[in-house]
Amino acid sequence: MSERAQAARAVEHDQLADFFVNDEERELIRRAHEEDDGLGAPVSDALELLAFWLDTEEYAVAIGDIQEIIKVPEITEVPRLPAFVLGIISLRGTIVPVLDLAQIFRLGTAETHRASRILVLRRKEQPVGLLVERVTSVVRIDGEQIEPPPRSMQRGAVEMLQGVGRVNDQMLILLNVDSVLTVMEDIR
Amino acid sequence: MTQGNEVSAEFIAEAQEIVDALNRDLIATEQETRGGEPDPARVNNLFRSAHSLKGISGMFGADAIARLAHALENVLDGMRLGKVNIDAASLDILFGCVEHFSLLIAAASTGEKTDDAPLQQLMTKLEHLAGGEPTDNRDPLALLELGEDVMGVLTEYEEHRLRENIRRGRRLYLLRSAFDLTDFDLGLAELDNAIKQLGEVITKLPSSQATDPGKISFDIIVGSDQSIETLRRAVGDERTEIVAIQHRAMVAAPPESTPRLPTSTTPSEVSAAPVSVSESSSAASGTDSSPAAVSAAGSMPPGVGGDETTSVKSVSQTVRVDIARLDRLMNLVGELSLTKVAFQHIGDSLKRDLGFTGLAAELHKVSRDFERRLSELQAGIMEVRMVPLGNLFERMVRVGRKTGRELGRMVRMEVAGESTELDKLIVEDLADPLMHLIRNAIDHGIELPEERERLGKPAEGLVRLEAQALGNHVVVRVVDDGRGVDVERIVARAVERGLETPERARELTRREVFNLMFLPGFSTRDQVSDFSGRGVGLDVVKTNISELSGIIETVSVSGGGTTFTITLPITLAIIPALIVSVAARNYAIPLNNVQETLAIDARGVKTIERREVISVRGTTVPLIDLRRLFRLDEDGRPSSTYGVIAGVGDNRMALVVDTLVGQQDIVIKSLGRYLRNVRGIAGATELGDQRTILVIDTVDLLNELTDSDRFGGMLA
Repeated sequence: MSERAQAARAVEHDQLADFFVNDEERELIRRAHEEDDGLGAPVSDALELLAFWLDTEEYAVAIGDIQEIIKVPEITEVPRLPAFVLGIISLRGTIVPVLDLAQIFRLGTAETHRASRILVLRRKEQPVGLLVERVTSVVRIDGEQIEPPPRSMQRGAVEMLQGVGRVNDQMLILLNVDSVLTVMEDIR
Repeated sequence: MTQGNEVSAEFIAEAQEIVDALNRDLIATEQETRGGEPDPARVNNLFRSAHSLKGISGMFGADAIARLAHALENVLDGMRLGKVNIDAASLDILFGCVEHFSLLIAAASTGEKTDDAPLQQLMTKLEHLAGGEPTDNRDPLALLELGEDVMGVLTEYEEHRLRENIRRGRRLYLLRSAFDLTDFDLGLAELDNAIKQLGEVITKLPSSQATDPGKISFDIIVGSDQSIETLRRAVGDERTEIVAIQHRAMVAAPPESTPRLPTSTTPSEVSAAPVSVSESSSAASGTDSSPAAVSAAGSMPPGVGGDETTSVKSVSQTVRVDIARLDRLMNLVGELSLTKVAFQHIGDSLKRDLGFTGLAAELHKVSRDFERRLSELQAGIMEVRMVPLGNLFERMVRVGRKTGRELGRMVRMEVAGESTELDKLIVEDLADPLMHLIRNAIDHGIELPEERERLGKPAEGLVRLEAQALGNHVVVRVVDDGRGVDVERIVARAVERGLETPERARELTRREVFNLMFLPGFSTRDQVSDFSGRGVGLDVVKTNISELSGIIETVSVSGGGTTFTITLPITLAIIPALIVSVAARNYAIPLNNVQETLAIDARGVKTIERREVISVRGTTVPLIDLRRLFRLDEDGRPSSTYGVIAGVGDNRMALVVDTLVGQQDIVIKSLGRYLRNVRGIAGATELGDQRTILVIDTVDLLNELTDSDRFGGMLA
């Protein structure tokens, strides 16, 4: 196919990619949000989390922090920034910086493959994207089930965590989104 | 937002517009009084502005503004009717009013309370002026050979103009012309235009002597220095009858040298006009302060009446649009041009697959049409965003006057090129830097009057603001004729502040010295003044102007003044850009500051102090290798590269890129809160294929280059 024809296809394709690509994922978020707003009173102190894989560990962020989940489009590199800033994408015309969560937690460099997704965080000033390896599930967890992060973790990283949650035999590392994004403040 | 707030926002915008108009006319009037007589039409405009302001502020319940406007209206009415002198002293009071109006309007917009004392002071001054003594106490109108049918219908203002023309020894003519009822307005306007070249049209009265029922005739009274023959030739229409109006005092009219004195020795006669004047003697010097009771309200009744309604209407002829709405439209146009490119791609592949026939050809044609309309739409929106610099310049003239007065300098403010147009957003953001530069010019440049006289300069210093359109740029200059930049002192101060080492300081070029003034924390004033000596002046100016993609340059002659030249792009909304490729990545370089592009011959690259430079037609230009600066695959550099020369004048650089891809109009999007301070990057833009690329900030890179000269290490 010629370059131009490819570009023409890309237009069509990318418009879809802007939205949720995976019905399952869309459903996950939709259900979670719906239940939040629903009439059924939420279980007291319960937290809804989106769980995802990073390296060999399972992490989670509060559903309320997420605006949407997208497939990884072409990321435009921005020079002269720390390596954990992968670059920017345009999300329906809005510029969104994309961060490599693996590098922030010093777990190496995330590789992008078919299952990779960008979690677009809902922020007041500007949405921010986090590249993750795979999105797994939405979990509901009681506040009591969350333990403080283990002291053995690196000092810097501890502050970015809200704690560790246990659901059945799953162990989830809960992110504190606000603290994670403080890494961006150093850029300015 | 509540309904009430919207109404008041509208009022604020309109009131400010009127005050700006007042200011504009006052400045013009002041200039005219220097050289002789102020234009009566202008004084009349001033009066109308004050009247409108009174009307709308009354309507919106802005009492303080309404009161001041009312007092001002009275004075201006007196001025247009020749009862109040227009001189430096009275104009100063009027300028005071304009300033106070701005204060009151600003307070009204924030809902603050204002101090009533300065308002009262102004009101007292205005009342004193309005009650002041008229300059001429005789009425020469009675000497005119004009029929009662004409004299009886003249307005007070027209009578005043008649007197003025007589006083200046002009001849008066009566023109009588008949026009077809269907298009008399056209004919009248044509005649009006012809006469205006030669004199003043005092009045146009529909005549009672019309003969033909399909026609209407007018009596036009004209004051002119020209002979009746000249007038006849200018009118060039035998249907127009011209007669000279005899004036009994004309023969005895004295020469122009004593214009404020009575024009003839004929004894005073009782005025036919309803002007009550003081019966003072012929010494109408204007300094005599015995106030006469003059009803200065004139023909316009105070308060809110039918008249006010029309004046409000007349000033809101234009539509005010929130710039954010235009931005949204502009964004839409940007998105549409992406769609356009997508269309073209589809068309191209259709053409390739099916050949240039049928639907492919049709699509091609339609998308061409679409493209043309789209660029018209874009141009149209751009045009709406453009505003002349005049308004900003007037505000700056006010700043200059005020600063001069407060610092004890005599300053004449001049403006030129005020009709030059610039994007509204840029104009707004230009206000602060310009204000700084003007204050700086007066505070640091213009000497005290005594000092100037000692130096053989006119006591009055000159600060000139000028604007000029140059292609896609606008150049704004702030010029003063003050003492100029003291190079030695700047260098000494820079060394003292640790901004420069003594060794390097000795080798600085003049331009480098001027650049020192723009460094943060630089200030040459030992005594911190309220105006420009706060040490936050010029560096802020430079930052503000850089944010507008502008460049500031300084030229200064010791003892002869300083010129700051600001070069700005006409707009930031949608701009032509050069797309370049570096290490397989595309970047956009706005063409605003691109001077030329050239192929770089590796053999032509030399190093000076470990910095790479090339020679472009005899001048040395530093290289900035984007591959190295952005740390991109340095080994993959192709054998041939291109240089994009960007900058203004001698202040320039060559950006080294792999290839030049093409030219395209782009809409720059901010990288947002988190990444907005990445050096050298102005933002991002989307190309037609939905790819997002970065936009290079040439101005920032130039600044960085200058800084790295001093601090080292940009490319290390």
